Amino acid sequence: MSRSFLTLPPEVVEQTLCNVRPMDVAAVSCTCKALFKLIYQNDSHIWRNLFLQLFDDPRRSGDKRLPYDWRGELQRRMRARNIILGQRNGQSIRGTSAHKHFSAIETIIRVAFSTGDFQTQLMSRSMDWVEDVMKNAHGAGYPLLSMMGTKTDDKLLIPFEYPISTSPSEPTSLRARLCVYSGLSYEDKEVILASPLNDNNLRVRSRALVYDLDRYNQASHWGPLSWDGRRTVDWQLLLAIVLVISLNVHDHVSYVEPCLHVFHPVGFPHHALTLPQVSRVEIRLTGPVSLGIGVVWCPSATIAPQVDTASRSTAIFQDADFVEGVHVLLLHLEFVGADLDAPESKLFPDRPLLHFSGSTLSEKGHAQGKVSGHVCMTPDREVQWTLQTDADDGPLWSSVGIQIGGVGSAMGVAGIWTRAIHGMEPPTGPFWTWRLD
Amino acid sequence: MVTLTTSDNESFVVDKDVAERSVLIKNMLEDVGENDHPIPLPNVSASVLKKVLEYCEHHRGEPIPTADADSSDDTRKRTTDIGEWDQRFISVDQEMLFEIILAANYLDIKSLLDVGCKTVANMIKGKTPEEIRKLFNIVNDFTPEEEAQIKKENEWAEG
Repeated sequence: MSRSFLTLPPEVVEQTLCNVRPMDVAAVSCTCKALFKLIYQNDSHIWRNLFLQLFDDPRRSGDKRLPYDWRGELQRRMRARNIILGQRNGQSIRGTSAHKHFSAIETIIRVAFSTGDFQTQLMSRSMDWVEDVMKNAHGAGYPLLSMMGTKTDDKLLIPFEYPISTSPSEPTSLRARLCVYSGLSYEDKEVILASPLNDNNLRVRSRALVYDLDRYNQASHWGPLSWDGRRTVDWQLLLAIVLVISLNVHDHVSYVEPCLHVFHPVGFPHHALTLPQVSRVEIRLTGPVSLGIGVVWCPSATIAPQVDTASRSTAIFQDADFVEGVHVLLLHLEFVGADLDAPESKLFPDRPLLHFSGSTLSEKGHAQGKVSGHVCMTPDREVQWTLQTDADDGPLWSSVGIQIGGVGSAMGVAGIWTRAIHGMEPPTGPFWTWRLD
Repeated sequence: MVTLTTSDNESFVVDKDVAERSVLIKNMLEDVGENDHPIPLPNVSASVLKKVLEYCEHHRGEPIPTADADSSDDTRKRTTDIGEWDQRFISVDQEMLFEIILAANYLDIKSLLDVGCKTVANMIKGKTPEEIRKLFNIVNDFTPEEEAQIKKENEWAEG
């Protein structure tokens, strides 16, 4: 009796298919009825195995949606990957419908966040997959720039609309969000610094956004939040903040080395976000800091000259002499208690508003100014930090930021600081804080 | 020593530890106890059993994977890598390859079944449906309507 692939028992065919890639399984299903049936009218055995070869086990990171839709989820992720990588193969972004493209980005963000806790991400298959997609988005080695498409001069892909509209479009916002998580890699930075300081320069655009002081008012809660008072995150602004600060650190610190294998608990692994690296070095040099159980954040604030925003011109930022000041501060924060009655606590009952207090620290680790504030959820499920720094004679600075990623994120919190007593003159600037180990 | 009788009535006398790499034979030996009766293997021909025993001989003494090697814990180390000796061993024509896979499945020799499945998987990788049909002599039996449905089901795999 002649033996062939089709005469193998179904369980053996299944086992075989568990060893190929999802795309190969799709090809096999197209060959004949029997194989199509076996693949598509089967329980989730094949699909689960294929899924687990590429991604972390969702059952381990607390995904309680059981039975898990292995097939649906795997297919969604593969489709997202193909859409993003499709651009590389000469397919213009315009060839793909905008909706398809952005649901692809959304899927990739979701995969990045599905990896659960800090520890497991060290060997996370899902993160490796996300990183692979990001890095190859345009066949270039520039994760952030290739996601934004800036390298191709495709205006549609630039994550900023400037002058910024009051309600940025969803796609623009989503792309900016992915870029915030990705952070600025060494390769990205080199490209940005080499490009001319004109209206299309990413640094010029970022500064124009960040120092557009009209943005900071009661409706936007004096932070990177939407203008409509709904307290949702303005991802474009957040990305601009991340870029302004990252590039500043590159300016001021000459020994930045490409750290291609820096691991990010929430951002993408192997992407060098050099900012925390550098400042960690600086802080270690200032001597041992004993901080107990508290959480330490290190804001680096940038101070800009007063900008005439009425003209909405980026001219001032195109001046090569335009510089910002960078300050690195050490903070020691301690949890004080939850406020279950705060309106913010009603949004998600399991995530009430939390109060904290603490102090800024001197280089030697001695307490200096007083700091107080709270953490709460935004309606779009992000974590908002509000922090007030006091001088001897009263409140001095108010800082509002968004946590980039989940709890324990090494990316920390990025946001805007303003005078604590609003309505007074600037200065205003971006800040970025992160936890020190 | 154990005597194994094939479907075409040939007998093979092999060391017990070699024969017991087959979980099926191991269980049979435990059931019948110590005696000299040959063990019939009506689903395996002599030419195939010879190959299978060559495999068992080479891997004798190695730990036998546990029954639930399929569990998700195992996926981390599951790759399509096949050892060098195994690769040479499994370099046979397609019919023999499928015979070995069937025998490994019947005799319950997990590691050999795994080598066989991975070999077939490697043959499939990167091929178009048409190339796979050619490879395995598969006849396209879809109606045009079914073709449309299949295309729809597989949309996720397209760019």
